[in-house]
Amino acid sequence: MSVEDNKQRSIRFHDEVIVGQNFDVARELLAPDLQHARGAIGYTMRAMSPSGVAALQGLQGPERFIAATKLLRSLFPEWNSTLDEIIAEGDKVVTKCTVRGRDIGGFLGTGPAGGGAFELDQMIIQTFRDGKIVKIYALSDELGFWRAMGAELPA
Amino acid sequence: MVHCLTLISRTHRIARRAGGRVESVCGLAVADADAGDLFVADEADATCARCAMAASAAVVRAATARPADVARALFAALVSRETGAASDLLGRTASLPGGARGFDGPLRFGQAVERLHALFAGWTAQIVDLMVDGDRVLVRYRASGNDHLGLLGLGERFMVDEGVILTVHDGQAVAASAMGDTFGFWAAATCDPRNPVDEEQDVG
Repeated sequence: MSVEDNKQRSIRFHDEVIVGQNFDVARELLAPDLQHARGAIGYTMRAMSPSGVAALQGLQGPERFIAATKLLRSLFPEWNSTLDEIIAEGDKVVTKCTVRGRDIGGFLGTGPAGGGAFELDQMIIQTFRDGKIVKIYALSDELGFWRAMGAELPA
Repeated sequence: MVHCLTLISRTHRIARRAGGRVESVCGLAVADADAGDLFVADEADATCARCAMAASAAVVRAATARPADVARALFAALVSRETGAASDLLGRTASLPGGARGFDGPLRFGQAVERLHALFAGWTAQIVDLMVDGDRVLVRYRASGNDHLGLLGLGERFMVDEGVILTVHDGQAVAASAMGDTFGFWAAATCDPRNPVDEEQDVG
């Protein structure tokens, strides 16, 4: 697969899996031996739903990713993502996304004046092998996110 | 035939490219096609004495329009605090959309770097990953330092993974966006400062 092929698959993954919640496409694009490195907004998920994250431990590969995504959606039903930028070289593709949603459950405390609406930048690095994603690693400004949501954290 | 350039492989830094030719800082000129890895040294590894002087970022700026080199030179300036020499690597109107910090032109870059090092003693970083796609460069790095002023209240030693995407035109970064895994930083610092953020940490 070429770098451009990987890019197109990454775009499809974002649009159809992350945004569209089409988990058949997730099973198609994720390798059976998918490595779960740090997940997008993973620390927040662990803090908000430790039991939910603990339940993921028994799963592997694509099914684990799908379960984590469903858990995230259950915590933030209005979760949405816009793909801002994509960079690819070799077997890696990086997508920079803007995530928007609303903390309708009040998980994060008081919530800001905007009624719990949030915006979060994410940088997701995917490694491809033979057209399938074998590793996902994400960077997110989760601490900034929590502070914006009104959570009390160290200054 | 033994190519003469193999005798000086990975020795030089590029000063300029023009007319299908490449000139090294020390004055050698070769055809553009010959100025590949066999001619050009990685980073500051130039063994040619005159080319090695190009570790000064100002010379690097004159040297190259390659986005990866610009990114590496800016990163080196960030770590070394030699931002004056790197100022030519940033466009005057360089900006950071999306909430990134510290790259609003050379002046702000210099100020931000000084503030970073003043607030966090021993701040340093290592590149984990560098990717180039056309005029854009992703630099993913792991930074560490000391919160000696207690500003964060998270323990003295910290480590955080961060990434920046630079857009480079004509040898200058004209835009950048950055983000850091600040929650991972916070979690590691509050849970166990001796336990650095682990890239492979599985959090679902």
